[in-house]
Amino acid sequence: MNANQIIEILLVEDSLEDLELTQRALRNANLGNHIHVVRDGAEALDFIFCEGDYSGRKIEDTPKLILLDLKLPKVDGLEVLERIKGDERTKLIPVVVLTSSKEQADVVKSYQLGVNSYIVKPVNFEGFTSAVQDLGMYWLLINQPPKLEK
Amino acid sequence: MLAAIVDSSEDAIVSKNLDGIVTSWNAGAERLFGFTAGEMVGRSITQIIPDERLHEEHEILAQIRDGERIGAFETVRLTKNGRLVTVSISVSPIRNGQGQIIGASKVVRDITRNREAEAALRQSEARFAKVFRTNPAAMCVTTIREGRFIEVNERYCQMFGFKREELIGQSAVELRLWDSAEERTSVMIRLLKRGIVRDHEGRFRNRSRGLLDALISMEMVDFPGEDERVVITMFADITERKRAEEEVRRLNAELEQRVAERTAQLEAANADLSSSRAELKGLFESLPGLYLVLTPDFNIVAASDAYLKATLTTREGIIGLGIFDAFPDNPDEPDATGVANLRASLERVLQRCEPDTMAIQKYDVRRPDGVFEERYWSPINSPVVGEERRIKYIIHRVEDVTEFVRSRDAAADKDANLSARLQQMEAEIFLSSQKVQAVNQQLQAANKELESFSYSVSHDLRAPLRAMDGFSRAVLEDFGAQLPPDGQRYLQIIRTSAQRMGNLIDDLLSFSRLSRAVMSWRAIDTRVLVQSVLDEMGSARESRQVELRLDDLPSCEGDPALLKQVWVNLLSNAFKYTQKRKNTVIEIGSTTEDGRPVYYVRDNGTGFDMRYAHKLFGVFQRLHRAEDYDGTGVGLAIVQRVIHRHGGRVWAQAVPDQGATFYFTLGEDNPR
Repeated sequence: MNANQIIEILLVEDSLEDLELTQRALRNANLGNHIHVVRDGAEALDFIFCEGDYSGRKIEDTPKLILLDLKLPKVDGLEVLERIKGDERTKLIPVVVLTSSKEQADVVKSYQLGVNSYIVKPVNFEGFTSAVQDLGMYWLLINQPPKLEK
Repeated sequence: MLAAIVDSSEDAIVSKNLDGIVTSWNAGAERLFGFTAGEMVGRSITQIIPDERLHEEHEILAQIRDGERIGAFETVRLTKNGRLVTVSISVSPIRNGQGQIIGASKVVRDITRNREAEAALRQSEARFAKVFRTNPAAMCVTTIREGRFIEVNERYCQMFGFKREELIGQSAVELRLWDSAEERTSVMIRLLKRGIVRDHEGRFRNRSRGLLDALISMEMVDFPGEDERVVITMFADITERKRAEEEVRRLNAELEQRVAERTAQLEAANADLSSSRAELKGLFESLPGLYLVLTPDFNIVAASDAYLKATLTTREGIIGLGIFDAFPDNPDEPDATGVANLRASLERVLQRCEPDTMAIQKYDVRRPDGVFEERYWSPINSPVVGEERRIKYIIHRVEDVTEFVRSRDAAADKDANLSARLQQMEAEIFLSSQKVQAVNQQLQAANKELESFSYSVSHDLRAPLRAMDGFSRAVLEDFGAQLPPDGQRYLQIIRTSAQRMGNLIDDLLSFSRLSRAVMSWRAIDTRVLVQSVLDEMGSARESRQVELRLDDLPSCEGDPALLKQVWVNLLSNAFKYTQKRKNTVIEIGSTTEDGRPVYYVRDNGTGFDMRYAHKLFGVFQRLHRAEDYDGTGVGLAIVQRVIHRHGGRVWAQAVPDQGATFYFTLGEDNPR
């Protein structure tokens, strides 16, 4: 069995603490089984577009959901989002931005680039946990993304 | 030989004696009458004479006997087959050697054919005459010398307006039918030389002296009954054609005339235009101000004389050049900002399509010898907008303030002269404006820095707090059962503190955003705004017994989002500080002060000590303990910041434990 084929959530997060907390929230909602974690924007792009370390992957095996932090080393989250939404092969992957930033400019820009949802990580972790769990459920279980080939 | 001549003659030659008996009969007689010599010799001549002509024979014979000769006479004779032939007969007596008359010789000529030819001729003449008379072309027959008419046809009469009788015998010269006698003469000379003239275009006059144009052909011919040769002339009337041609020529000439007139008009208009253009150009160039006209890509198209003089340049030297090629920075001053600042200003004009005033600018000019001279300028760049709101030109107007700037120091103690002082003051103003510009730039840079600072604050300061809160919770969830109650409480304190700091950061950021936010100015229905805030706060007061008094509120002008924040903060405070009251009364209303509305929010809550009122609107300033009333101490600071940005004032009245009233005005000062 090819492990790549069952990636359901690609989690793009550079903060170890946030990463662990997010994983914990997903795990508690029974969504933690097929998460792949990348730690910066460049690695995220390599994974999604099957380049570099991920050149063995097939681009058709798209993750079912991408959770994307905006403030990332190397390539920032908005740029990753732009690449995903600007490519015919990947633009249908649901992308949820998870970020500390309440900056209006970031929110507007994310929606302009075609983000599917936007969550501000609150300091209060209950809110964050339930938001992540609800979103994971929604995008993975309820929302059926349109197929590329009809 | 004689016999041979007689035999070969065409005529019939016959001889007879005085009794009328034929003695000889030649071949011509055989051909004419059909009788052979054998049949006729020895017989009476009467055989060939019709009965009614027999008397002629007696007369002939009687005359012959008398020795008379009978000249040719015409009569009729009979041939062998009974046909009558018309003949001409001459008879001569024949004498013997002694001179006695012994008989007669006759020469008979058949003239039947002559007659027929004559008849044919007459017929053809008649036909010709008819052709001549009825010919559709006008024709005449005239004498050469005087042009006397011998014959004219109907068309000729019609054409010239005469009756035939009026013309015959008259002279064309005397009737002055030729428009010009000289022309006739020259045509006649040609005719005499060559015998014929073809298609000569001549001009004639009719009876009423009307002009006739005709194409004529003439030929000299013999004419029966005329001694000299005559002229037949044929006329083709081309008067109509000529008139049409004339008309065409006239129209052409008229057209040419019109074209010429129109061309002249256009040329005159052009001349006017170019002269008025030249006038405008002259006017522009002689303007006392210092003007330069630039294209949108900053090429110089015109300059006033004053400008050229002030910049030590010539028109030929700079027109067509880019402004920065014509006026480079002083190479001896590496810090020169002339080019950079001017370019920035021109770019702003293009972007905003509105005039841009530059601060006083040092921008040295180059003398013709290449040495730079120090100059200070006060420039204004204005767009000239053409069709479709596109910028056609930029007018660069400058004032040379070099003297002002220099006099700043020099004129310090020579203040006796008022104008010198004025100049000095102006120089100060120019210098200050330059400083302001520099400070403005610093301010903009600082603002930028602040923006990126608050951006990283919102990201990076919150992350560790989230970890503190998140992991404390994880400990509580996963290991809570193993912790003593104090351990659980401490973790809870860590969480509360982290969350509190998160709130502080959020409030601080939104407070700092207030000063940066661009305001959008609108008319606002204050009562509607307040009502919407109260509706949104509905859940917060569900469990409360609150008496709300909402008066009519005058409308105002301002930024709706910011003013909403003011009402949210004031009303939340009112609810918050009355939460311990059994019967809460909150009154929202307005009074007037100097004709301006003063809005207020009054509560019967916990109030505060007026001694600390001055601290009320400071950031993070609190007049109550956190355990009594939560909050970060930013709410009223935000209220004050917004009110100030609207040019208004905010203040409060309170009595401890009895309530507080917060008042504010808008637009007292000039709003910005």
